[in-house]
Amino acid sequence: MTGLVRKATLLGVCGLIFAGVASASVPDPTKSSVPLFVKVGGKQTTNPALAHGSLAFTVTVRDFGNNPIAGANVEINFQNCTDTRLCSFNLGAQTVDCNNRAVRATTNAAGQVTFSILGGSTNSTPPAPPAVAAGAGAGCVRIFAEGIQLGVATAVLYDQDGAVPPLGVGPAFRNGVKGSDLPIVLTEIGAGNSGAPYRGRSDYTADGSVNGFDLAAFLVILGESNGGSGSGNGCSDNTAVAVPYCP
Amino acid sequence: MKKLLLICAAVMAFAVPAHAQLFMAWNACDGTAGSSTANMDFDCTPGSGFAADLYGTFGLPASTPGVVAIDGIIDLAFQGQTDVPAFWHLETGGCNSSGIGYTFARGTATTFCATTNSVLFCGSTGSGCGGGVTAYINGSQVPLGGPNRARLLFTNARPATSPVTLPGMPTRVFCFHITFITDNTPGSGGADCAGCETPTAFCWNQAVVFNNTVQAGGEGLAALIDSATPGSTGSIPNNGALISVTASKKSWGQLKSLYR
Repeated sequence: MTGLVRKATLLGVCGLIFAGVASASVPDPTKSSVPLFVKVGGKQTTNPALAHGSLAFTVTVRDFGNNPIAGANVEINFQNCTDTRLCSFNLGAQTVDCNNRAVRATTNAAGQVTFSILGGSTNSTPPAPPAVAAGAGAGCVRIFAEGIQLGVATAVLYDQDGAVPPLGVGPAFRNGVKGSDLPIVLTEIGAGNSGAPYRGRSDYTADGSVNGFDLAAFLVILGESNGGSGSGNGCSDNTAVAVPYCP
Repeated sequence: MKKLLLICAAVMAFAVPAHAQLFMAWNACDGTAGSSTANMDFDCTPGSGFAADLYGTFGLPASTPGVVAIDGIIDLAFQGQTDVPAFWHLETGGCNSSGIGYTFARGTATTFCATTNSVLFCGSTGSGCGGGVTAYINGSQVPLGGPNRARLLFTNARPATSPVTLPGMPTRVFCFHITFITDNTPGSGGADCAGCETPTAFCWNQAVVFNNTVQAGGEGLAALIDSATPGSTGSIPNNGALISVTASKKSWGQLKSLYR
């Protein structure tokens, strides 16, 4: 009997230990931090190995005890973002899953991982306001760590029409942020100011509304792109490479 | 205690800011020689080459730093009409879509807008700015308007990294120059868009000024100016219109609530 009690106690202690270990590695959405807006853009023209600097955002994964979780698999999922097309290119340590419309990477020792999401939108021919082109509203991006949803974010798209066929590289194509995106943004602002439903893709000031303030922010994005340090290259590395958007 | 209340009341009375105002006029910026807020008869004769120029300036209650964008609403009402005449369908794809021009460039000459009443938000040639007419909506699309209404929305913006400080009243800021042309009247050889002669009232109903000062909710609302402010230009007519434009506008509270 004494032996049985000992065994039971031992098993119980082991169980508690394992339970503790398991809990310690489980992401806690209330202790983790995710952005409210995810900006999606392109590669720089001057150095296509780099993404537009303002795309970067960091996800921090912590457990219930507020301890950072290293090695956690973080997924930025765009399945609900109907007007977003991801670039298939794996930037840095990020991996793109075209089938599931997701980008994944792993946290560092501090439980953090920084993403820059490459992609574009399909908004090439917006209707006259007050109508607005179809697309996602707020919170279409879902952010997971180890399969647990940490939160949602709104997708903001620098390149309004980059993912519209025919896909290609150069001035004759839509890929990349350029002057041809400006009239689309103006139309989006007209729709926003006319009472059209909110579209997160044009909320460049990340404030939950689309108006003239967003044009001021977009002009910065456009200037950086025209200057070579923005999203001018879209998905492409150079003029000899086909534009690899996800289907 | 009474003295304190009296002092507070006096301070509050003096703390009321100077009024922000909207000014709109034919021919030139309001306050410049040649400008007019009186009736403007359009010459709708085919081939006349007529153009009507409408200028907008505004004044802020105080010097405002960090200004990056202006959203504006101009309402039109068509007297005696049950819908919007074809000539006034100025929207993309509308009968007279080529009948309107818009610029946020004041121009380098001061003939039409004296520098004393038209400080620049954009460069004189428009450099450093983006924007234009963002929407032109008609009839029932105009909130609380009516079938004989149209609304023009515009945005002027500078890059958020390149804001400007705009002065307060009495100095005025140049905002827009809109040109209406009559090349598409019936018989002109262009699109046959009837209704050029329709008496029409124009009102610059609202301007929202944004600056880089992020407020609660994240939006940089610097000023909301509307046509109801005493001293602002009310409806200005063409073709002898006797009606005025009263349209729904967002109040400051409504605007702020959008961003909370």
